[in-house]
Amino acid sequence: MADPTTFVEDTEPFMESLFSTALRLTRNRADAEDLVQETYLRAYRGYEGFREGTNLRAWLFRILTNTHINRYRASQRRPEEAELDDLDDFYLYRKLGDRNAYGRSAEEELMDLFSEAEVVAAVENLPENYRMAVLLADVEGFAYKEIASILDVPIGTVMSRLHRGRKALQKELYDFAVARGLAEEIQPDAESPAD
Amino acid sequence: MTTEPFQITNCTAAYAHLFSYLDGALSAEALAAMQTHLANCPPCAGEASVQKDLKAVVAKGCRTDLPDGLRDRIFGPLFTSGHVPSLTPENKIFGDD
Repeated sequence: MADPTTFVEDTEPFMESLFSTALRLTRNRADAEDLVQETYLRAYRGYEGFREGTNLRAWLFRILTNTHINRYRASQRRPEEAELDDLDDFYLYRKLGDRNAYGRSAEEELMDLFSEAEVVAAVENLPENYRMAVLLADVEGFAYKEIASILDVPIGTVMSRLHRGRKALQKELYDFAVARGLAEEIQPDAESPAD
Repeated sequence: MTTEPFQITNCTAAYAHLFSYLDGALSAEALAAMQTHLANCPPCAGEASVQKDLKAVVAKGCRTDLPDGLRDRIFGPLFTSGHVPSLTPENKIFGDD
């Protein structure tokens, strides 16, 4: 077995990121802790076979995502692998920008319309395979090539999942804002929205 | 054989490359073409700005602190003593953080 102290020193810095991702994948703190625990156990068992100087962070995330998928198989549930339709291009700014007539910047619009909690909820609503890609890219900052190796899919699939996942995310947020009456399509002769 | 220089000739093309642009995945040539387009196209620049903000909110919102005790629960069993050595500055591999 690998030396535990070396393993701890090398892998501890990644635990918080792994937990954050686990939480968004499982949507449940207890399951997230279990997932991270099992990930570290598998990583420790495989650590002597891990080649030094290669991408440790990506290797750990690969174990995390594989373990998550395997746990679903063991529980006889299937992870959501729904295919998102290829939405029409969704120009969030242009949708919001209709309100620019009232002199507010796009950034202000965005943060007024969606709370952070709503954005997180929308991420958690994405089907799992899209959610994983978005988390790895946007939260963890992995490159496309790294995501491809973590998820064991071609780079084209990574890009497609990111495109569709992000579009779905934005459409959900926009629809949510519309439902709250905050983002009516402004027609030239419409009333001013109450502010 | 000469290659056509990469160009972003309209907003549809800009949008098609927008996510790659924000992900830092464009080649140097494509990046330059994109930046030129954005400098001259306020709606596309606005879209890029909003998408960038949204990406930042996703990043910030989806981060979570490590729960208390998880580190010890995970690493403890690896040591026969059950005790996890703390990484004091003297023996930490990574510099002060």
